[in-house]
Amino acid sequence: MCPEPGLISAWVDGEVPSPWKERIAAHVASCPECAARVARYRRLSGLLADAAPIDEEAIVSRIEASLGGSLDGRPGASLSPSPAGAAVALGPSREGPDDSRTGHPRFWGRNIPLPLPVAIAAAAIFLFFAGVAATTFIRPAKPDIQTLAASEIKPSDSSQAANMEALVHYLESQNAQVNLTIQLPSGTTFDSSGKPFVMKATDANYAPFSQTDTSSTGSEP
Amino acid sequence: MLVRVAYRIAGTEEAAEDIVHESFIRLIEKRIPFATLDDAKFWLIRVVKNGALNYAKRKGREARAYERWWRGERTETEATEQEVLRDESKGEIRHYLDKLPENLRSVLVLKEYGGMSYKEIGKVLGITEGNVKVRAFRAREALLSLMEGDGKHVS
Repeated sequence: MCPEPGLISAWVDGEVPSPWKERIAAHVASCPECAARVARYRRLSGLLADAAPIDEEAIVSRIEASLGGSLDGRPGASLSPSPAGAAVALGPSREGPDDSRTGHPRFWGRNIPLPLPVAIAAAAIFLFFAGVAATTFIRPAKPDIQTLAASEIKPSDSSQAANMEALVHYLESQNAQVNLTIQLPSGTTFDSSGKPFVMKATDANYAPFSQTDTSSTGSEP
Repeated sequence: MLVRVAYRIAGTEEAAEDIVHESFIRLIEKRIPFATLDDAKFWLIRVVKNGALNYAKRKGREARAYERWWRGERTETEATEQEVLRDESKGEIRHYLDKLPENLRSVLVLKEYGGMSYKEIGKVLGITEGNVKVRAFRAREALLSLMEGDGKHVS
């Protein structure tokens, strides 16, 4: 019985794990229909790859230059998850995807081998850049997550401002894990123009909350 | 890889360069604290992808507006010649790639030009690996039927 076409597609992409990968390979070898489908997908990949190649390296160098590239002698940051992987991934590469990154063979590999020194230079440049990028704005995630939902504010209640300040002070003084939930009003409060009155949560860029890139805002109808 | 992905979606080298450049600027200026380098990488790819898609959409709109005006200006014979010339571009696979819905195009471009795994594509697009697999399959089939519908024999 033939595998589903979707599975064949995934297999062509090398995304099917063993042992099914080998089983499909065996099936494709002996089934003309599936073999034809595989050939079709590979041919499509070939067409995509062949279409109008560009001088990626030249463009990349121009971008680097205009990004203020005095990428000189700054030591590549020793961070972990494979800065080299990221560098190779984002930097210029040969026509056709990079074998070593994905770790599985490319069936339609039109890998035009890049001269080794150029490849090394390109990788090195991006390693520097990744290092710069990493030291600039990688911060290890801290365990405390603060979530703010909308809070209810009545226009006439001026003491709310004081409460918000106290809240902010409290949060600032906390470094440990804080889970903060503010209930949305169960009823609705309307201001004079007829819009329900909700308050936007604090901007996530405000320092004490900057550990995660989330910000929630009150909803408007 | 970023430039390649941008180019395949946006269509010109200049646009690709601008989009990637701008994406890096945004990354630097926003100072978003990413937990890992991978997160930063995926964010960047996503921004480039979206920038390229928006550019393509804008350009498409402008091109269609020009087309409508241009057709009005031309005489009938000139218009037919224009159409013949346009058909030449159908030989380009890019013509068909542009016709794919964005969500399918994104997956295929990231796969074929970005060399990313389904898992990585899922992280960039914020969808599951299974969803990526389905989209990649659908993208291929859609592209193939578009081309074969125009008489382009694939295999």
